[in-house]
Amino acid sequence: MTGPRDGGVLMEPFVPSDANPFDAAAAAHLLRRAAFGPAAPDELQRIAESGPAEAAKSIVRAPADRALEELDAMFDAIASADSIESLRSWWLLRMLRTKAPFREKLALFFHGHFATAHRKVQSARAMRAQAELFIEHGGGGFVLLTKQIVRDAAMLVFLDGAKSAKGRPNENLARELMELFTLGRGNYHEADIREAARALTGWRVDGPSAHFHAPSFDAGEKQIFGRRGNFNDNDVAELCVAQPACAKFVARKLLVFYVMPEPQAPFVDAFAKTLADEGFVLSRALELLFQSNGFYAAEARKCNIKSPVEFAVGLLRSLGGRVSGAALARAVAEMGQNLFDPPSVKGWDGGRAWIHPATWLARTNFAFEALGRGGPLEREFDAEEFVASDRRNANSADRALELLLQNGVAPDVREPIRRLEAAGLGGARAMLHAVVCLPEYHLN
Amino acid sequence: MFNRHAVVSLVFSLWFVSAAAHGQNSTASRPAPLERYLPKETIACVDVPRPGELLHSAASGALFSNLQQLPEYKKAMKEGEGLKLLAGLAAFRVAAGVDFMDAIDKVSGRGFVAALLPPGEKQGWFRFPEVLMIARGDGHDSIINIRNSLATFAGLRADGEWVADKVKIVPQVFQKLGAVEIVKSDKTGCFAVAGDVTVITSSLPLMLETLSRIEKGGESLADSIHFAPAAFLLEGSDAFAWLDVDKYAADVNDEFKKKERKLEPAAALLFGGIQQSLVDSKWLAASLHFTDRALSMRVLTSALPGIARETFLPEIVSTANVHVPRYAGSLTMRRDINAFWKDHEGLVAGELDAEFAKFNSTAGTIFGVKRMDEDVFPKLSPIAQFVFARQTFGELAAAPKIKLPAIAMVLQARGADAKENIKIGDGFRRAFQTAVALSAADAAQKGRPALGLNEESVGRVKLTYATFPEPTENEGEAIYYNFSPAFFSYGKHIAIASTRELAKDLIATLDASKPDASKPDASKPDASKPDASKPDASKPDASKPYASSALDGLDAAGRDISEMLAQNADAIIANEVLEKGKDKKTAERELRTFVELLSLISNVKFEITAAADGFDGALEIEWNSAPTAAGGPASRPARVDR
Repeated sequence: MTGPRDGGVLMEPFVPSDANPFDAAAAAHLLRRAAFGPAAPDELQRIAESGPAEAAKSIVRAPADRALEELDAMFDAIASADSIESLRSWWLLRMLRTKAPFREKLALFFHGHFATAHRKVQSARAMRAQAELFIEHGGGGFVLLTKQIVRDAAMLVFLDGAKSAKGRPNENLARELMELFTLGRGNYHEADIREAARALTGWRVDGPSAHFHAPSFDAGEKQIFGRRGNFNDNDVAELCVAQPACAKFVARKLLVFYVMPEPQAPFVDAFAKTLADEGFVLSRALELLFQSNGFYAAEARKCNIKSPVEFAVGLLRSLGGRVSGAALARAVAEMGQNLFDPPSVKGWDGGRAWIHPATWLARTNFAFEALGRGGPLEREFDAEEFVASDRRNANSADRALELLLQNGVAPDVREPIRRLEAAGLGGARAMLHAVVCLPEYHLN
Repeated sequence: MFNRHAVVSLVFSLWFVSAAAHGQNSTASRPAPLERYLPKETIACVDVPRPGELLHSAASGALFSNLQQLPEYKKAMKEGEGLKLLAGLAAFRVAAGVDFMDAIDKVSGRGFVAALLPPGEKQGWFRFPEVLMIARGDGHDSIINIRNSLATFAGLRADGEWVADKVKIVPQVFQKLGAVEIVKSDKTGCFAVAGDVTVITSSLPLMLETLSRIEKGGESLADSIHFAPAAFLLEGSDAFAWLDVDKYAADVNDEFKKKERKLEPAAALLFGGIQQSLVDSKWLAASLHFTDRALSMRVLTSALPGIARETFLPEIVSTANVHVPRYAGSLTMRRDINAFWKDHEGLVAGELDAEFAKFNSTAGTIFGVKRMDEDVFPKLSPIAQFVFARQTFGELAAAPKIKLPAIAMVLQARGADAKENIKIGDGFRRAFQTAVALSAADAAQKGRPALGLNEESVGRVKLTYATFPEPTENEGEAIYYNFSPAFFSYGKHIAIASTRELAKDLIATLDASKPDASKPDASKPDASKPDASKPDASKPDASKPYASSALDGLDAAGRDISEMLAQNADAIIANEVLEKGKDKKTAERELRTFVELLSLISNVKFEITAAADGFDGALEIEWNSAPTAAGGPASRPARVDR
């Protein structure tokens, strides 16, 4: 997928025109990328009427949803059981219920970026602390976040930082910090890794939290990226982020997550400049991205395959109704994204890797259960009532398409759905299921 | 010379009096049991001898009285489904002209039976059986009036609108058999009233056959060789159910008996052959019996599998007193491990033999003996008791957020030789210490708090226990602070407990229940006191050791369990919210209702005994007392034991 060539134009504010209006389709595009999709038809209308700048602002700057504190308190009550299954339920229910989905979506990005896995960490409380770090601070400064992640208990266990000590530094954390978290391959030397590993010593993990153990810390002088000093973990984080390669590296990753699977160099460069100009404060940089030409270009629409979480949470948010958190977590895992257990330190590959016969079957089965009542998802949902809620269209097929795809389908795709209705097969649930099984529904 | 006339008069008088006395009890004057009207091919039946009386006593009994006091019940009766129920009952009275309970009495006051019969058509592996219902009531006319009223009532739609064309007000007569009118519903069912007997069937041929049997008699279920052995349960019961397993498999559910009956050792050891018995039985029967304070249920199976017969019918042994403070329940299991072990080569699949052999020598090493099957199992009594109790958490600086009950397993050494018992106890102690050490090593490797071993003396008993280190700020409420595993052996008793507190309570309880020769036996009534109550021989005093032939026994204290649930309310509600996606208010309301209902129950007791030809399960649920309505039900006859 190629992107627009003129980097300078890409990050300029998008100005709606007749050829490229900021309509319901554009609003839905914004909501799908910045959040998990429209939660209700009126939300879509409100966003469309705001215009791109106000819309981006309202989504990014939505305050933390205090109503989620009740859900957090629920998890606190059982936190001592240290159940990873309950943790998955907790986070997915947060994503479903939140009125500030941008924060959860950005946390999901960091969950795959600063990837750790429960199968090694073996502490649901530590994994929760990390998730909360991403939710609370993901939109803040990337430098601060990186500083906190190198002393995060789950990360220290996962990348053996908890075993690293003066005289026998473990290079795992330092290597992944540079290769996967901040700079990418080719932008550091092996010597930088060795010296950074020395600076990252001194941390020990005690249950869900980490503490500094001075005797294990190598306080000697180190040389990293050509600079000398008695560096510690904070310094290493700052040094990494200060490298010119970091902005491009992080910008590319954010563009892949939020915009297109293969962003071209001009777009990456332009966004990297924005990121650096905004002091690596991600919420500000992303707010500008969400109102940019590059974001609303035709090439950027419907080009990303939804991850299982995006698909499942997006569908349920648009449908409403009760669902079992535990069953949802299992369903998402079956689709290939087991939260808190990515396949490797690189996180999930994403893109086309999300779709193969087994996961496609899991998606369509999930959709069928989500559109019904009871079942393994313990759903409370009325498909007939949902379809009837759309007053703009006369027939069920068009209503289903409007509600789920905001009419973003070509006529040759719309026709089979209409024929399904005309054949009188299955009712509202079948209609909705047919729409959700369209490939278009699985594109962001 | 005797007076011939006087003799003849005396003989006639005697004959007349005895005939009159016999006539009161003769079957000729007593109505036939309803099973006499069921065909011999019956697959299953449910019999309620006195439905009206049962409903009346339930409605005026202690349980319902307590239920009505619950806040959730009062709320439910003022809204939603409760209100609909009350409205329905009121509408019924208007339509039928009698209260619902009185209608039940009139139609079925002298018995009700429902039966499943072989299906007429085959439709795949599950074939819907025919249905037959028979009720005996007050009299023909009152039943017909109620029938007609109900038909009218059924014509109303749920929202109260009258739909006159949906059901005919007076059901159309479909066919006549003698004086009996058979009416047919819109679907397939048939309805008829013959004298004081109401018959409802799922097909006309079945109706005709049943009416003929009612009028003329003939072979019936009561004559079936599979029914007769269970029929005694019907006497004195408030409800009775019976199932012909072979017929069910043959006529209704092809899949039922097809499952491979491979013996699984773990299941066999755990269930003692009960699951096998359920599959092998020719018939199953159950009875229910209600009193003001309790509900009793019995279930009989008709097969005793070989494994149970050979392995799990041990000698009668005494149980230990495990009624510790904050007692929540106990489970008693009798499994002759020694016999099972000896026979295992014949009972388990070949590939498990190597595993058993490995266990034999490995566990023997830990126990400090050569072989488990020679040096340990033969010396253990075939009884294991598991006791559950609430914890006080008094020994901890902070109680865990999730509060689990403490649990202990109590075994007994078989012999009377004290030295031998000490040796067995020491073996178990070594195994306990090894297990704790292994767990601590594993925890240390994973960076988790590790258990540390300790010992103390509790009276003359050496208690070995393990505790986690004092919690840090982060760890204080962790779930593992529910556990401080402990072990002791006291006389012939060997106990492993999940907490030190429970182990100490057990030692004190066992100590208190030891017979003291210097004191009079409190279990025997004092003859010098004329009003001394005699111990109830049918109900062992659970606070004292008693001998029982029960294979398995379960005892649970409703109030303590409901208190444990209440202690963990936050965690349970959180689980409901996170696992099932309920909102907090719904989860809170549901838990509150459940806890309130559970607190109505004072005790649940379940025992399984094995007889020559099957298992006999007895369940008793006692609820808390409350004042009953004036003129409450008379006491019921005691259940008839086998």
